[in-house]
Amino acid sequence: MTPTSSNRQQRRGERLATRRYERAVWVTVAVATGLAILALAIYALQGPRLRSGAVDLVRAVASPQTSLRFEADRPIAPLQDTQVTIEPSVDFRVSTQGALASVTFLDALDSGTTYRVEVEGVRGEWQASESTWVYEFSTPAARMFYLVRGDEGESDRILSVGVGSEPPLEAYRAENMDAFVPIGSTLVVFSAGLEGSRAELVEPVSGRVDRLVLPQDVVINDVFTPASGTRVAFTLSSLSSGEFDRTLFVVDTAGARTPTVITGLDGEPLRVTEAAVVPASDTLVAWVDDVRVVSVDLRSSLVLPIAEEAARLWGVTSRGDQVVLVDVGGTVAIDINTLEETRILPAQLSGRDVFEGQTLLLSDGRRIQTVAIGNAQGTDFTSLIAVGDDAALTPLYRTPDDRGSIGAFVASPSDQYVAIETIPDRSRRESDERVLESRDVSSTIVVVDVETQQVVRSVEGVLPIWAR
Amino acid sequence: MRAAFGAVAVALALALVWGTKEASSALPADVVSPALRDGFTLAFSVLIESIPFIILGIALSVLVQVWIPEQWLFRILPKRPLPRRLVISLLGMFLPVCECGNVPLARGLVAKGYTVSDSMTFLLAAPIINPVTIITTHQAFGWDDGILVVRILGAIVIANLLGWLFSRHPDPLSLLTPTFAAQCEATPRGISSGKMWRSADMFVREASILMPALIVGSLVAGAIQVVVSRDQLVALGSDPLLSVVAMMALAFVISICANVDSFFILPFADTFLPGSLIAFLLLGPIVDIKMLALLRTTYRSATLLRLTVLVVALTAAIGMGVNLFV
Amino acid sequence: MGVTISVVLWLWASGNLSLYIHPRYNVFTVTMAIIALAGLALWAALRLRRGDDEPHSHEGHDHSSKPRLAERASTIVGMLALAALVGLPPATLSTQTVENRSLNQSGLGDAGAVFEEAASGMSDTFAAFSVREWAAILTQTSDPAFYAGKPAQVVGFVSEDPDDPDQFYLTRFVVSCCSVDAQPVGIPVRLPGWRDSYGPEDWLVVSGQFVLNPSSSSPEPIVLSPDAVEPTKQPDDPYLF
Repeated sequence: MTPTSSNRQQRRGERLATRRYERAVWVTVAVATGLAILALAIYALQGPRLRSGAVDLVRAVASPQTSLRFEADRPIAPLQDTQVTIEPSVDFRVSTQGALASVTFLDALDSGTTYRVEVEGVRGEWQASESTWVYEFSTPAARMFYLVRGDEGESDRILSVGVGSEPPLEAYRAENMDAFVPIGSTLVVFSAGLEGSRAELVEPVSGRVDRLVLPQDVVINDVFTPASGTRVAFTLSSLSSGEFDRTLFVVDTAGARTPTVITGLDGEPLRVTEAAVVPASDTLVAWVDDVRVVSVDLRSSLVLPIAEEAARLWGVTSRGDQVVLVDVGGTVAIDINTLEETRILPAQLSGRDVFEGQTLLLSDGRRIQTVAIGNAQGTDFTSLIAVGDDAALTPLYRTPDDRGSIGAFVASPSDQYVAIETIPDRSRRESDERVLESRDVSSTIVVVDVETQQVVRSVEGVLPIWAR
Repeated sequence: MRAAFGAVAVALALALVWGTKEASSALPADVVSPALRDGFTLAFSVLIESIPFIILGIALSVLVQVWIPEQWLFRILPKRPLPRRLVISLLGMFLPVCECGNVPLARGLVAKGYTVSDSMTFLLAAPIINPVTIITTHQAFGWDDGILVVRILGAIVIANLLGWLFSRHPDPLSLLTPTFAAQCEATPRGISSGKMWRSADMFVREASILMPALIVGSLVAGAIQVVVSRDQLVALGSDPLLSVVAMMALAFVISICANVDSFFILPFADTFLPGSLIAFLLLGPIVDIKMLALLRTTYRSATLLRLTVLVVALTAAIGMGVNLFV
Repeated sequence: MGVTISVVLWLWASGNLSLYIHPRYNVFTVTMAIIALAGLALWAALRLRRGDDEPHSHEGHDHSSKPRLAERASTIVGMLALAALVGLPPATLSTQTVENRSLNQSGLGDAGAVFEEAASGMSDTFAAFSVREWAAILTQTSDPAFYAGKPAQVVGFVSEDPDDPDQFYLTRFVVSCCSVDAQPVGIPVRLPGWRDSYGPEDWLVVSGQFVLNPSSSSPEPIVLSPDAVEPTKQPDDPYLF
């Protein structure tokens, strides 16, 4: 059958239509591919992108010198400190290597805070185009441990509390707890009594209690808080043999768990009456023989001198760089590494001279001090916590109606809060008569936010220690 | 009486299979090599995961072909092709089946008189534009990076664009496999036998066509996963080009149901660029090994080739575009 | 279809369905399987009667042309697959797949939330932690003091550590939809000489605490130091969902 012309036309129409269809398909593919390539090209020409950021939040709020690590999608030109902005502000150093950048915080970070890190003008190593990175993270809330000593026959309790309004949580309860040191979810508990001294490693989660082996016939003099990593330092004296006299011991709860004597290079033990842990290190700064101040490496036992004559050792800055002590010239801050001295001159409170007590040097050069001022007649003295610099001090915390007295204060790792041991009414004192770390039975811990100067928490108890 | 016979026959078959399984489960695990065993395990998991959706899809297809009056299917559609395809791409909202279940449904629609390009629009859009997929995508990603929005809009664009392209073909039936085309032409209308019997007959017929394809597709998907190591793919997460390519390759190979692919890809959200995640979420429901095997029962290879190339190109463009702007 | 449905129902009845798909799909899968069985029964009845009084309905199959090679091949493959489906015992994924998919790449869940639980948790919190939770916490911090006093008791199978022969990873698979997306997660366990007692894919219950890793060759900063290791049989639900 011969195809008619209309059939042929129909088939040609069909072929043309088929070709149009094919063309449409492949043109669409080409256009889509072209757009994809274009998008890719534009992307490549843009500045480096932030691939990931990581920071160990546990360490960041517990110690100085922790780092926020950035990974870029390509090697970047070295970053300068001026390119980085952090809110709320923290002192830092930035370093770059290949596609990695590291922002190291010189201080511990504040707890319960959202940090925003912005890096401007990030350039690829071989390109001119710049981009801006923004990274946010939130730090965990602050937590403080403390001890509530029960009355006669009652258990003592170790509690932990936050800075908000939630009730305290009980971490552990037992009889005769005089001092304690929290490490992670464990507690090292010390007690000294007529029956002798005891040190135990308690794991409240599993209920395990391990007794730490102490030498025979000793009494525990001091327990230094907080722990240094997993190590706890303390001193003991022999009751009768005279072998130990406020001798410095250290126990590593993650290691052998056997308390050992720290000996200096000369092989002699150290007689220590005051000590402070240097954050982010295995070092303890100790006041030895009531005169010299040394730094002790708790791992290697290396003992290095810091000051030859000191009347008091107040402690170490939260940044871990300086030791604050009192010598013949007054209060001084000594750099641990360079031994450079910076005098801390006495300042006036409301134009009046004060007696200086415990001194904490802040990273911005200000100080927090326990000071005592006399009344006009000089017959009564009020103690309070003050903050300020060389020029002037202002009150940070006073007991209500100035009726109380101020004991020791403990700053949180970033100096965000201070926990102050107080006695609400100094005219009514009654000791709890513990051999180790005795306190008044009405002792109250007051937590003050350093920046807002507000009291955020007040609990009855003793021995505040910030959780790390 | 007849029904009783049927039930007995099926029960016998069931018992036979069960007996064999009980016996075989006593075999030690290493009767085959670990790689082979894993390949089978992966293949079977794809198979088992897809089966209920295929059954649902066939059931709905039977419903559409045998039970639903024709006017319903056509009255709601606009006359003009552009809006009609748009409405069809939203039809999936009422027919929430996985992408594999859509194949028998689309076949049913063509058999009922929908044009090939309309059915293709439905096929491409329905796996994504349906309540289950939208909800699970939202559960996994929320409104982050526009992933949900771009997935929905991207699906509508791709489905309508491809529907339009294929509608320009002068002889739409030639896009279909000869078998299916013949089946559609010859579909009997109004035979005297009861609807129940017709349903059962159609059900088994569709199943016998789709099952081999599903099985082959699952086997290939399982085999590829054993051969290609996944951590090689994952290492490419933040490269703008390779992350999109890797995610599309993963979507193609892994043949996972569209209803749940959001949960699967969610853990990769940290290391992969958002554009690559969208490329995965757009490509997976439309073309993957399992789907191609199923579609091959209905469309010719030439059609599927064009379909695949188009979808890959469009998905790549959308993915790279999103990377640029997010 | 019938064979597959039967296998599916058998897997469900014997409790092995979770080896292949996420339990949340069980109801749906079994319901559909039963519907399909009903459909098959109906069809079987139809077939039996077909000889009697059913008019031969034009099925539309192309009976005339020879089955093409591809169709023959796919039929054979299909038969083989069905044989495997019925003939092979139900199995979990092996360490082959662990090696294939890098460990802890994903599947760790909400690491931040788990970490907060761990920071303040008490005994029941830690008792509920599986390999997945600990693996997530290990990505958050490497401070050994954090892990002090936090006991771990976990179940998993052994998977070799390529970096240190004295260590192995205690591993589980995390499945989000079906075993095809299974992602291995694991924690490093330090047990010198473990090869003398255990081999890869052995299921163990390990109790211990996380400590600083003394190894010089492993990049893991924190490792589980076991107090007790006991072999156990594979759990009924080997995958974490």
